[in-house]
Amino acid sequence: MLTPIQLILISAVILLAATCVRSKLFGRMVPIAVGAAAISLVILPSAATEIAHRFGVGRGTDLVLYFSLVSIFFLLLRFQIRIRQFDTKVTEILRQLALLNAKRLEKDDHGR
Amino acid sequence: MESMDKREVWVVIPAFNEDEVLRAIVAAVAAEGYSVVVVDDGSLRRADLFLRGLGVDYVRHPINLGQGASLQTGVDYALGNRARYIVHFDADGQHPVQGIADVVAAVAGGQCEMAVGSRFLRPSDAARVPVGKRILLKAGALVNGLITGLWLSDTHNGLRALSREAATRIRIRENGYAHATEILELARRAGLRVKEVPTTISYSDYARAKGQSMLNSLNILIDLLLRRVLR
Repeated sequence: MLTPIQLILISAVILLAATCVRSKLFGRMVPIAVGAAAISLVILPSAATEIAHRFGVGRGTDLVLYFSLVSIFFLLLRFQIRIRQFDTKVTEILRQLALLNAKRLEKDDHGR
Repeated sequence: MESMDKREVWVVIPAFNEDEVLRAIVAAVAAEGYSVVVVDDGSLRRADLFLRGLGVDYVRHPINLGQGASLQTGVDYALGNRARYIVHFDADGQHPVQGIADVVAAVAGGQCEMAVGSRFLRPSDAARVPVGKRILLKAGALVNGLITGLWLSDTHNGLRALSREAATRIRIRENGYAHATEILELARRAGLRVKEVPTTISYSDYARAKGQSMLNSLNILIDLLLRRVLR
């Protein structure tokens, strides 16, 4: 049987991969949310443990670790997407450059 | 094929560090009367040094972009030069020049919009494929079928012919080797008819050394899976 935290984390990973990772708004909100969570937990360290218990996790640090992993997964996916988009653009630029410089290697007696 | 102007058949040959080997292959294709564009994918030594006097067209990527990117560059060039049929042809000499006429005939005859070579349609061709390679290719065909829904016998054959119309509707975005599957996927989505044509592959030591390793097949597979998630 899955504990609440397992359900949350698994659905977060699937949801991120399927949808949110493409959303610009969501991508900008993640750093803000992580920052807000960080500040809150620094001010109220015991809160992490209380929240953790509610999700079926033993310690607050573990809960933080789990969500960090999901965030890293999200960031990696986003970087992959951005790199691919960048690749596509660079390729198109270089392709146009190559086509502009295309040349005919004229046939001569040395060619068969 | 008699009535066809062979100059309207554009053969795209992507080349990366093929050096001396390239000349014989390009010369053989050009000698048949086809239009040829060699796409030099940022080779260390410029490929045009090996192609002097052959009467072929030459496009060079300033840096190495990958075989998929090279094919698309060549296709763009051919489309801009009144191509009626476009052929993808490997530079390592594994395809016989006769294969060009075979795949083009299938498209020109109206049987399909895209014809792809297969080394598994004739027992004599299949027998020439080394065992390890055969297992790899069959695994590739299985993955390809699952992804594209097109069940072909040989999905990683570099010999293809496309009608002009088909070439305009397929745009390769996979710069690396995942383009073989991508092309089929795009063809299927565009509703193009794809037909396999028997071809012979010669496994010279050179072609074998240039060919795909087992490890690289894994890279291709990961590219294909990422492509599903990331686009």
